[in-house]
Amino acid sequence: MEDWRRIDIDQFDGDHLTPQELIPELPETSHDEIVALSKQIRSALTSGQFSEALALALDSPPYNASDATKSLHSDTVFETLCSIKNNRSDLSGIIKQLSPSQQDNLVKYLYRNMATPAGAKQGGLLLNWFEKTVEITGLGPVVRYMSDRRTV
Amino acid sequence: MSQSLKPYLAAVRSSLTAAICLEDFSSQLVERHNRPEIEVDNTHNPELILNPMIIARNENEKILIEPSVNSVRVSIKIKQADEIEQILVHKFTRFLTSRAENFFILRRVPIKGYDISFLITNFHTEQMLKDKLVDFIIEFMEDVDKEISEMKLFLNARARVIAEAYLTPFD
Repeated sequence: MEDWRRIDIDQFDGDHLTPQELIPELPETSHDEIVALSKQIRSALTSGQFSEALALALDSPPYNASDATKSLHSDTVFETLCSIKNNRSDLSGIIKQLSPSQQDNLVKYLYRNMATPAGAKQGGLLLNWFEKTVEITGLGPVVRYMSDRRTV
Repeated sequence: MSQSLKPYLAAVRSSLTAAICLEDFSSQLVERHNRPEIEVDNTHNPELILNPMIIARNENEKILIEPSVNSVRVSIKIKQADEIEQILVHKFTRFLTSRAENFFILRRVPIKGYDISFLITNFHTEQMLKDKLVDFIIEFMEDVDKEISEMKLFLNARARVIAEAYLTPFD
């Protein structure tokens, strides 16, 4: 007989949450939508509309989507942040124009990008964005990043 | 303080301040147990674990903050540019972790991929001031880089003196 001491008896007690139950139910975002969105953001960036591009990227992030779709969008946001940093000096002005929920999403994407090897190489840039954002918003978005189950 | 260190420490400070918001929380699984939820296998109550944060200055320097309802685990990866620094960091962290009970919040074993880990529970925040805990970790991060580069300089100087002393007979 298999080692009965190792049987996880707590799994038969139905009185607990599963990781799937924690994630709020949201409409699924398809890969094509995000591809189309990233094209839109790139064209906005090339025509010099930086704050519009950032607002577009942070407006409707793919909460409920496959990993590939999520990382595609986070790469797009990363590109947007890099190109704004290279072309504009007043980051604070751009952050102030964002709505509170967009600022929350910005912090989420900053943390997500710092966790990737490509983002770690550009750590200085992301930290600069982070510093400016927290200066304006306070700790609210950081706390919401930790507790929000709608991960990006 | 160098230009890129300031935003790094500022980001760590704000993230830690947000993460160290702990309360007393008894185990939901085992009667009359109270344990740091981040440290136990939480497949049965995933709601107690919050989203982890990674703050990276570059590829070699980053910090991982894993918050939960009653504990926060902070893991630091210290800068290691070459093999000498790797050895020095290893010896230094081993020296500290073998005396972990004197540091209260130090974890005996670092998380995989990191050099040193701290575990802050609600009992620590009850006994100590939260701001001082954050200050301690920030100060540690500042000092450890200084310490390691200083040790490396001493090591090189000492090696040079020894080499000279050995080779004087052949002069």
